[in-house]
Amino acid sequence: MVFSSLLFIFGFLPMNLIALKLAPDNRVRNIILLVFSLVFYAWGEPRYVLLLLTMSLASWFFALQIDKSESSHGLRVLFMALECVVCLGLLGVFKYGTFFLTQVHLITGNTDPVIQIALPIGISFYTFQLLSYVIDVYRGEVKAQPRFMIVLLYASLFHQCIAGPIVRYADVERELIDRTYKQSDLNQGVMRFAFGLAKKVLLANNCGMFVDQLLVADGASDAAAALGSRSVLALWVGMLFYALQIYLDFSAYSDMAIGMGLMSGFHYKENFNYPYTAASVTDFWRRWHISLGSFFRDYVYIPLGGNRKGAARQIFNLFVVWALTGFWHGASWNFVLWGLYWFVFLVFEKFFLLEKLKKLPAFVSHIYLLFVVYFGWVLFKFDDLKLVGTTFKGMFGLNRNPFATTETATYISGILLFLLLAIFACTPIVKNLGRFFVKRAEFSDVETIAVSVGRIAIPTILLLISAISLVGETYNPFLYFRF
Amino acid sequence: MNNVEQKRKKNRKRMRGAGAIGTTVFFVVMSIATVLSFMLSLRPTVSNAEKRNLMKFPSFTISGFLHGEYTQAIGDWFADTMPFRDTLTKYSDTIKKTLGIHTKISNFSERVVSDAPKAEDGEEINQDTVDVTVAEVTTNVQALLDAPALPDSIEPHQGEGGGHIEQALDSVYLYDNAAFEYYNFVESTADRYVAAVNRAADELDGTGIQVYNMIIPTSMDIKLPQSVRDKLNTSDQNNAINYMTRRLSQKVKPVMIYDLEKKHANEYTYFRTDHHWTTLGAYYAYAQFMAVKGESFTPLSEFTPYAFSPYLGSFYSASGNAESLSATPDTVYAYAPPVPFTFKMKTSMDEDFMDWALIADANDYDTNCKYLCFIGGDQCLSLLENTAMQQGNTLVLVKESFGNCFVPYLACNYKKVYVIDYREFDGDITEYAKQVGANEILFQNNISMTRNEGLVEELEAKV
Repeated sequence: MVFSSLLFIFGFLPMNLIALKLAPDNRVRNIILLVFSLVFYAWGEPRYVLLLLTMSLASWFFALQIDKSESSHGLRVLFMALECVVCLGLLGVFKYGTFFLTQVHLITGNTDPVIQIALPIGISFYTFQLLSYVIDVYRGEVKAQPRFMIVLLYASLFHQCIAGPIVRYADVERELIDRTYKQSDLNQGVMRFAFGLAKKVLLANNCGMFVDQLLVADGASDAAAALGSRSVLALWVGMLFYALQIYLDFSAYSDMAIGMGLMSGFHYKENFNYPYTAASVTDFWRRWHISLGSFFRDYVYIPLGGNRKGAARQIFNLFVVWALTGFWHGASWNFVLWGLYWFVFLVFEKFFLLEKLKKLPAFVSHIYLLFVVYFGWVLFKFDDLKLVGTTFKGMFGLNRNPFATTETATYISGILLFLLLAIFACTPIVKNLGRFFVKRAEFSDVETIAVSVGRIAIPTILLLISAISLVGETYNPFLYFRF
Repeated sequence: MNNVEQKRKKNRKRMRGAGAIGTTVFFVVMSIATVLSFMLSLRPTVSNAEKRNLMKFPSFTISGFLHGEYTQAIGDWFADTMPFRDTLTKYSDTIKKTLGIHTKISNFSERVVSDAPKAEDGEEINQDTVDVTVAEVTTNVQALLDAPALPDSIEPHQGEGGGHIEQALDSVYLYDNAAFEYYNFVESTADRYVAAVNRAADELDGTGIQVYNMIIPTSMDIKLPQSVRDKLNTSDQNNAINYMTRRLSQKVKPVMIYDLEKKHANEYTYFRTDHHWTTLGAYYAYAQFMAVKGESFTPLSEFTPYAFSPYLGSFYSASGNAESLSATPDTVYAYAPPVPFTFKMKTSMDEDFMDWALIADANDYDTNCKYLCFIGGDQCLSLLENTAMQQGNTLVLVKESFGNCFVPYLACNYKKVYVIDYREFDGDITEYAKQVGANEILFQNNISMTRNEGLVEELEAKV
């Protein structure tokens, strides 16, 4: 089930919220949340609930053993290693098994068909959550949770289980046991969820539709021929829509997760901070999928020595982190290349470029960042590296296609206004305007009324127009099935 | 605390209160929508806007459940059969427009299209175009609209497999107040179409049944101004029709209508909001068909005209309900034959024939369903019989939905016309033609069908 489906917004979510409202205490609420979360996860593919249960059980057990083995460093290391073997092993088999077998077949010239292992939805998110929990216990930063149910709830909580953010146990430890429900959180949660839903349904889905039309739909049988026939303008604008789609879609999921968290008494950290307004690649990665970046920083980069062991070692550490970051996004070489693409720019920035950018006008560094991100998405978009090549060539007119056909010009002119709206939605303008008006309204009765009307009407209007747009809409992709 | 600070505090409190009211309104609306969603009696089973049956609640299987297909299907059913869906879908188009989406091409495509190879010297097929003129029928729409209802007024046949015209349209281009479907010549599929017709002719060789073939051009090449048409990435239809016609065996007589339709391009021969031709376009094809056979055709003025308006067809929905189309909707004209006749049809092969309206009163049909007034829509098998004709020929018409409005004209020239929609028909068409004692068989298809692999496969399987 996805958040932006009618069954979720007019079935699952209201039932969950009503059940939580009727529950007498947090213990019952936790049971309700767990049952709903397991149903939510099972909705995609019921058999993989076993995988989630197994990984949670292993993490609960190893964390407890690590906690109990305070006096024996060896045992602690052993249990930590076992946790890594179980979680990363299962992730390796289910997410990367087919990929590795394919590579072995390619190297050995084996032409037998490779076993296709279906990727369990959300496996990368909950694996990383569970790993972070056990590592934090190992480091003594949190106490091991004695109740399995709480660990399972932490891993499976439907708000963030399948599309993030990657929530740290330390951040929700207290709220998993004892949380308070505040009206202000509820109001904020409803507003955040409604904005997230509208962002996904009204903006991201339409961007995605234009991507499919201007570039090529995922899995299209004649993708190479279709991309090869695209005019230069279609490819540039198609990639622009892809850049918009991926941000709007992903951040919308985080908005909805944070919003639902607030409705249920949880406070998740922000996962996006207007990344397309960044001034450098370094800045971009502080704003994009923050929970993933901080995971790799805290659990890979810093343990490897970070920048404390000299420049060569730092470069090596960055290389490892960014190869893994790329690979985390999908079991395919294009993702590894995409990760290493970032590595190259980050190394340049760390060693000289950032200093130079700081001396230039802000818009120059911003344009530099946008181009780097834009071309990065071409690598990210296509699993098949041939399609990446076809797109790059086509963007520079090397596929012998015209700059624009009548069709391209007609099609794009009909969606230009929407394009501007989508670009606008990637900036903090709406948020800042909202704050500005609320601040002003404190001094004016008339403006107080205007803001109040907005607060009353906006969440419901966004809910209704999103729901209406979903009726009869066949295009509602879930982009994170590869993560 | 000074006055300003007190006011700020008061206003902050009021805004917080508004936030709480907003949350309550949100949950109340969400709850009402949830309750309505779960009222099964409100859930539609057919979408008139999309002309299709909606999904049914899935059947449970262990394997489907374990693989997530069952739960996925429940979600799909829930969304597909949402109460008030056709109404809500209209609002969804309005929302798109409000968001700044006004594209004039649906199903955008920039694929490389090629034209059919041109004829070598001596290969050209020349067929004289029949000289036919009709009085402009669109001049007195109101009189037609006010005409008494047809005696055999009948609901459009809806439900599984029947009535609804289903066609997956390719890219559609909007120009002024009309839409046009792109066509891309696909040599392999065109060759397979020709081979299927040739095979039917071989099967019928020696039986005395004459095979005819008519490929109908679509509005893109007939109606669109040439200067606009030339800029578009769409294959030359005349070229493609000639290509296929050159490859027909000597046993097949072609009925070439491109030039005739082009000659009458300024008349109302194609709908602007739908992919079909109009009855006037079909009438010229009828006249040409008779001319090829060496027979006279009945003047259109002898038929009884009816008009059903407003009509917004498949192009309208494909365009995302473009306002340029809805501002000037189409009118469906129908012409009842000036001879006594009976008409029957079957909705499935194992049923008996049932009496039906050759032309049904479509005044009360939904705006997007009015083309269903002809022959009960796309049915597997129908029979039109001229009851005044003592002796006459029998024709088997093998058609898709373009043929529907063509059928009534045939009542004047044949004793019996068996109409086969090969997409719904289950059986061997040539065997059937022999069984019913046919004298002629006409394969009639619009050109889009001849590049559609799935449809050509359907035809191949039945000849």
